[in-house]
Amino acid sequence: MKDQQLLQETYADLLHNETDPALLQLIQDLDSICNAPQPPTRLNWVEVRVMHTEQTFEKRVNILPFRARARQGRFLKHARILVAAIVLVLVLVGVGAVAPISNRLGGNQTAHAYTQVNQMQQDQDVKFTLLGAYASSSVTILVTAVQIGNERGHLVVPDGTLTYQQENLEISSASVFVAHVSHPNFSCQFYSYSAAHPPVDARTVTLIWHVDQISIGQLPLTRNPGQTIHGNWTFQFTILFHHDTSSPDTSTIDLTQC
Amino acid sequence: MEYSYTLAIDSEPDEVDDEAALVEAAKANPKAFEPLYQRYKARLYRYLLLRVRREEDAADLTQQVFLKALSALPSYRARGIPFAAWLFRIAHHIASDTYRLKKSAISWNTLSDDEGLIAEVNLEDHILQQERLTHLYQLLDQLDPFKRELLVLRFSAGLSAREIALVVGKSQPAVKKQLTRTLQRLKEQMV
Repeated sequence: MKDQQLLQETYADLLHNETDPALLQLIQDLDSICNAPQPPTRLNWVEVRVMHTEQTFEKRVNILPFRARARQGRFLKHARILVAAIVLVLVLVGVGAVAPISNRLGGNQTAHAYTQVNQMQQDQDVKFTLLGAYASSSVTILVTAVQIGNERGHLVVPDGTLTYQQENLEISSASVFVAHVSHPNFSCQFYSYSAAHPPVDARTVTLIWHVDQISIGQLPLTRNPGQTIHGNWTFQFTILFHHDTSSPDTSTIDLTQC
Repeated sequence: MEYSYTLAIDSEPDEVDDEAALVEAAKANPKAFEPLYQRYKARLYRYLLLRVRREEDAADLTQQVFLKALSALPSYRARGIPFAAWLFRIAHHIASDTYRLKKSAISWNTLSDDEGLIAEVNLEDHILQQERLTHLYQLLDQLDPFKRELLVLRFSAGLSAREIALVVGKSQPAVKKQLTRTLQRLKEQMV
């Protein structure tokens, strides 16, 4: 509750130097009512910054953007994911096509290397290999190869969480971009997430990638939403963090391992 | 076609107090928007809460307003419209759209449980204050939405009559006149 002098200063335009006690009381009450609510602690700048970065990223990259908001129902989410993937997937056949798509995801304007991870997790018939990852102030990119049974030519859209361990902060829930690079002999998936926000002196970040469901797009692509497989594929890994917005150099990851 | 996802270079904004300088800094680097976010967060939240009446919705809308402001910031020109008016105009439009979609009958009274309203007063004063506030809530609920909007912009958002005029698209004298009349009417009804 404001004291009378502060009240008169704040609302001088409404009080007109009046000393009407009823008007003063009314203004006091309105001030109390209107300024009582406190914003919840969940309101924070980082969330806005991340959402804005994602929007900017979506505008500039335009490769398979889709949103996987945690609040959305899984069915709806997957329907959207697969429609987006099917409509927009870039399927490039032939070795010569790998470099252009790689440049789109990484670009070689600046030479920042992916950190090799090479972890494999298998659940049921699905073998997930996390080949490498890259983290900067603008983006986190995971490069994977997925083998289902004996086949490796699928477009795989993961559902799960990517958590920045040091802050126990989930960074995966907002957006994922998928680019699928296929070749008769290999197929890679690039998953791009919003950036982690480690302390300014951090040289590395430790991430936990937990996938509990995958949706499989068929090749050649159709509007069929494809198969969904539930499972548990969890990776924990530490990679270099680049305190800038530079792009990763995709030539530093061996796509032939896919 | 070349793709690039190089974002604005992050650098710490200089310590600047002047709002115009903060806005210019944020235009050059979105990260520098944070001081403006901190400055307006509570005011925007309160304004939106009193518009949409639900804490969850108000919090979501607050973030939406800032996101929209951040995206639209490059086109903002300080000449003619203060930043606060520009920001609350975005909030005004977003809240209006939401209000149209959810024209629910949630009472202004939903805010009356807030302990923050109760100062340390004796029991009798406390009861009198509660009765007065309850009566005021009822009067506010019965107010024409436009008049209520003006009150919220003045008291919750802390905008001047000139800024309110820019938000709601009326002239400054008209806003000032309407505010004075509304307060006068409320005062009479409170007696």
